[in-house]
Amino acid sequence: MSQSFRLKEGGRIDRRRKIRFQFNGKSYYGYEGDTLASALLANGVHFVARSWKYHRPRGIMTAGVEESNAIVQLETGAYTVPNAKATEIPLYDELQASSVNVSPSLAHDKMAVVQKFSRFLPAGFYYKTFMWPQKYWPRFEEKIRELAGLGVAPKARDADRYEKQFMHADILVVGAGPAGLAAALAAGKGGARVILLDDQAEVGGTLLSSDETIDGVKAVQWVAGMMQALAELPNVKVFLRTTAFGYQDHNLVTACQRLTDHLPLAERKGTRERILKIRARQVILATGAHERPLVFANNDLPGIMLSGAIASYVNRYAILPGKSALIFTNNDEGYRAAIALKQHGANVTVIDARPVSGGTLPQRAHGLGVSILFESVVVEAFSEQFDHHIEKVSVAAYRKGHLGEVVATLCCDLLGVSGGWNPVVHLFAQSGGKAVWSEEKACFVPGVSVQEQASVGAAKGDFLLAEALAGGQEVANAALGKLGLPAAPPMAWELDEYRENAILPLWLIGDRAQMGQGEKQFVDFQNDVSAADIYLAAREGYQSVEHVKRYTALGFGTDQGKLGNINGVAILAEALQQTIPQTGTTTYRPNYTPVTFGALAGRELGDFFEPVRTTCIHAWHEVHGAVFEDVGNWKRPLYYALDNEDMQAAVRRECLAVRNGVGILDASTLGKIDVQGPDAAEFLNRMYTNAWNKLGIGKCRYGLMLDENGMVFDDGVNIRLGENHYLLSTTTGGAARVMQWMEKWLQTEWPELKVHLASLTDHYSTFAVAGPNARKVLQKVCHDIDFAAEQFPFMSFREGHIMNVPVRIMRISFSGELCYEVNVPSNYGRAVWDTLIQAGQEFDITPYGTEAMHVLRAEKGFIIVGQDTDGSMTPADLGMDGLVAKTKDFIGKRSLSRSHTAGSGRKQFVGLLSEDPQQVLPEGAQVLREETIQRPAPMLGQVTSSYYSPTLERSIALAVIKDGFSLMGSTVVVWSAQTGFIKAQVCSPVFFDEEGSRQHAA
Amino acid sequence: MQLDVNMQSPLINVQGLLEEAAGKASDKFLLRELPFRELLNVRADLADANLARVLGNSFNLQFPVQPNTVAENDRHVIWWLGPDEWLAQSVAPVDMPAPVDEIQALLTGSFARVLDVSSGYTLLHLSGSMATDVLNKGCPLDFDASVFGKGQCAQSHFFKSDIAVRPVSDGWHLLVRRSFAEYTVRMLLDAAHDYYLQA
Repeated sequence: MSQSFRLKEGGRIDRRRKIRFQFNGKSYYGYEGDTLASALLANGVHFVARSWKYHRPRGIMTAGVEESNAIVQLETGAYTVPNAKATEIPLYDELQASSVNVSPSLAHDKMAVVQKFSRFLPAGFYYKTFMWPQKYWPRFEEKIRELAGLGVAPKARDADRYEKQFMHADILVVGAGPAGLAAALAAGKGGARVILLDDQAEVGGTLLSSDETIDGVKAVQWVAGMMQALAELPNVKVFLRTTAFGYQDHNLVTACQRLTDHLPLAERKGTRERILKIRARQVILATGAHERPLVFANNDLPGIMLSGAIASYVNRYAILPGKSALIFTNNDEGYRAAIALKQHGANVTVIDARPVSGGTLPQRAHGLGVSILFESVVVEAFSEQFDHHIEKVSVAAYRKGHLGEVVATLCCDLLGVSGGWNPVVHLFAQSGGKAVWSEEKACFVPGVSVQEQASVGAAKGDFLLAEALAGGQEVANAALGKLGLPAAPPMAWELDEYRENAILPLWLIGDRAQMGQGEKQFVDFQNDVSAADIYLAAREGYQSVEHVKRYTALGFGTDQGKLGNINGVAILAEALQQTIPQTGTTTYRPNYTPVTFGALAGRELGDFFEPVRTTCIHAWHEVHGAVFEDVGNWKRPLYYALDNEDMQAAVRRECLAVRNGVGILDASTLGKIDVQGPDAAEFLNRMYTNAWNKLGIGKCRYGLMLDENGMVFDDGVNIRLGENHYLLSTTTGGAARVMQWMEKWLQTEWPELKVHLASLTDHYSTFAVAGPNARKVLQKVCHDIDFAAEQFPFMSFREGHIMNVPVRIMRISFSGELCYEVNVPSNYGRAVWDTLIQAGQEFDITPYGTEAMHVLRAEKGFIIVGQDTDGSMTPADLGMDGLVAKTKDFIGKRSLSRSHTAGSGRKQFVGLLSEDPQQVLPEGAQVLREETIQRPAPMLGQVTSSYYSPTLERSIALAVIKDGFSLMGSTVVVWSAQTGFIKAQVCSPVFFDEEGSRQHAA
Repeated sequence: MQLDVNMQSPLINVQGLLEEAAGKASDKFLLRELPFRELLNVRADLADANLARVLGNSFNLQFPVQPNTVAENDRHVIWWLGPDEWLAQSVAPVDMPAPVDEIQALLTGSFARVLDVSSGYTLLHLSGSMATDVLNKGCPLDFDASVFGKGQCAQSHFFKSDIAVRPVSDGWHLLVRRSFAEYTVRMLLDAAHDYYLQA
């Protein structure tokens, strides 16, 4: 109820909309427009966190994305967000949040005792500890893992929906502060397609916290006018609550648009976050700048905040964060907070490190009655409070870079610090540019761009409002020019006169001789890295800033060093006695701020993870009890479960039906490639091991394809449709790969060959009708083909019709039975399938799945590429030497004569019969010469396919075994963890119908 | 030839989904299938004037030689797919694609061929004020009228599905492979999720 630090008037909050929220189990109130941080401050809550290593009490330091202390666990369960920044969380009804890294509570944290030992826990202490005794390491590790980290990872599935969207723009403007607004409006007026992004809920940037006037009106009113002007341009799109987090190659900027985080949980519908992938012809970076803290003893106490953040909390959120304030600054900007505080009734004293400043802001502050101490610095902050809230500071003289004696102790309940400003160069750096040090401005500014972009305003180091407004138009016009568009009509706004005195770089306040003694001077707040730690790293020989980062953990946290990195670089430079440019910065890595995993996954989850490809018979399979297996992206029936059959019973029934009656298999998923052209036969000769010139029109032939190493790569039955016309088939999983492979060779190696390829995998559906009664079924439905054995021999094809549908029927067999594969354009596939099923009823036609198909072909010793082969088997290894043409060249041929490829001891394709005929060898099991206790055991090979054969009423297996051909008849041993050692006999892989007479059945 | 056969398009199993979606927010996004078009894949080198003439006469339409463009009349749309590859799509659905033998006979002696691929693809029609946004959820092309206008076509992908796409008067036509068509439809309807929510 209280909000006792809320000002009665002003700010961008809506006092009509009161919001209740909970922090650490306690209820508070805020207003619409607050962040969690501003609402806490309005209630006088500063102590919100404990630091990572030392568990020191921490408060809210900033009002934005650079916050490193006030991170919280937001919500619980499916909506929880670990390490959310309180300064970024929009306040909504019944929001719940709690501190991280504390147990059992913020106030009574068990690990707080670590503070007493902080002297012995500098950066990198873990490199020198936990070494002994070595056997305790697993226990140390467990404890360290418990202690490390901040928030808690979610255990429930993310309840929200996320999306991605590709977008295009002529000009993308990142940041809608004054520079970005000017740039976007100019670009829009110039007729470009403009996208403007800002991470806040409204445009305006720093102007939202400003009490300046522009063109005679308040800054926020000017901002509203600009927004209106933008809204009137149909070629300008504005995305709010959107953070550009990555700058990729070729001007691709990735941003995250937040759609529902500002709503109460119960009201959230639809997509929560959308990743925008924006390709822009020109990018304008108007990303602003982050204020730097100052580094002095105990500079991390709750109640110490960036001065710009104080100005923001006063002007934008209508809060008085303290009543007795000090501002410690080395530049004029710091005075804004002093002015804001004073105007709202606080006592304010400014401690300015510089000799004097007659700038506009110091003069104004002075005029309001703010006391100013020049040539003074804060040396240490103090608190005796339980929550370490700042109570007083010691102030020393500072002349010409020399730190004098402490001259005063000042009491306060709020200390604003301003060490200068760092342009937000992160996206610039990600785009490939190098930031360069500006001695004059004491910061890194963007150097030369390597992509089509420009930086403007504070992001460029142009901190004055006039520079931002003029600069925005300048870069917009330059971008328009590059696009061949005319410049926009110039816009000019009247500004208050503003004079500024120079900044005095001030990286570390303290006696260098006393480093490591006395209270800590923090550089990286989140990771508890102090100035002494940087000196320690330098002493231990870490020179490169990248090494110092990793040794000290400077810049490691969720904030990625936004507050501390530049101070750290400057301190390191001094410790190494070199310049800041010589020291450089660490690499700015994506993402600029954390991005939800869900957003990066988008919609390709669950059923949408991969395309699901189905044949034209899929619905029929489903209705008829099919249990499906995945073959690549395809769903194929594995078996059909009738009347509560288990798989074994179903497969048995299906196999026996094919061997004894007739079965039907949907083989539509196999690849089909149409080959036409005068060089078609030559092309096939080069791609396959066997010869194709003599294949007659109307005939079929099995083809074996090798890679350049002579290893079997794919196989299939090919047919000759005409003089220069073939139709190839491939394995299901190999279809796309073989097509790519063939096109690659044609286009890059043999462009002189006149061959045209096309994939017909989807165009044709294929149904294999197999079994002694197959012919009878076909004869019932196809009347313009003569199926008599002499008229339609094995390994040939005929064209005719079923109903009025043109079909091509190939007499080929994978099961070893009499078989006809019916090929039909898929639009008619289901109709033809239904007709075959209907005609087959009298013969009890049995649909069979891939498992039965596997068993049947295994009984015949036919390989499956990718199951019995693994990319390391040659034709000779498979016993298929006969398919290798002697006289023509083909891909892989020369490799077959490599010493290793042609040598002995190679795995060879054989059959295995287990000693116990009812025991099925595990697929993948290792094959050994004999039982052994040797570890590792010498491996001879492995079982590649293994089944219970209903035809033979016993188990069969296929395997690849070193020198397998010469082990025919021998006993070997198969081992798996589940079965132990099993004896088996090496035999021919053809277990049934060795002469192959059944497929020739008359 | 009249066919006494029930044809089934690649989207046979999602007709209900399409109908249901059509009833919501169709002003924002409407997805319809245009099935059973005759689709012929043509390979030829049109630098050969004779060949260009023969093919042009067969379809009563000059094949487009400018990359990523189409030629159309009231019976066919011819999509440029590559320097020597086109897809001739019939405007109206057909029961049975015309046999290619006739055209192929005219091409004897040249290194050119026409191939029926009618069952290998289907055609989708996207319309509505958010149709382009929906496409951009899964396709990286720039669909702005200033860069992608009437008479142009392009090949790309929508999520993991290969597509060819071209603008029509009230939206877009998408050619999609048969076995990816259902996936494409599901992803398109899912991409319109938020528009359907507001409906």
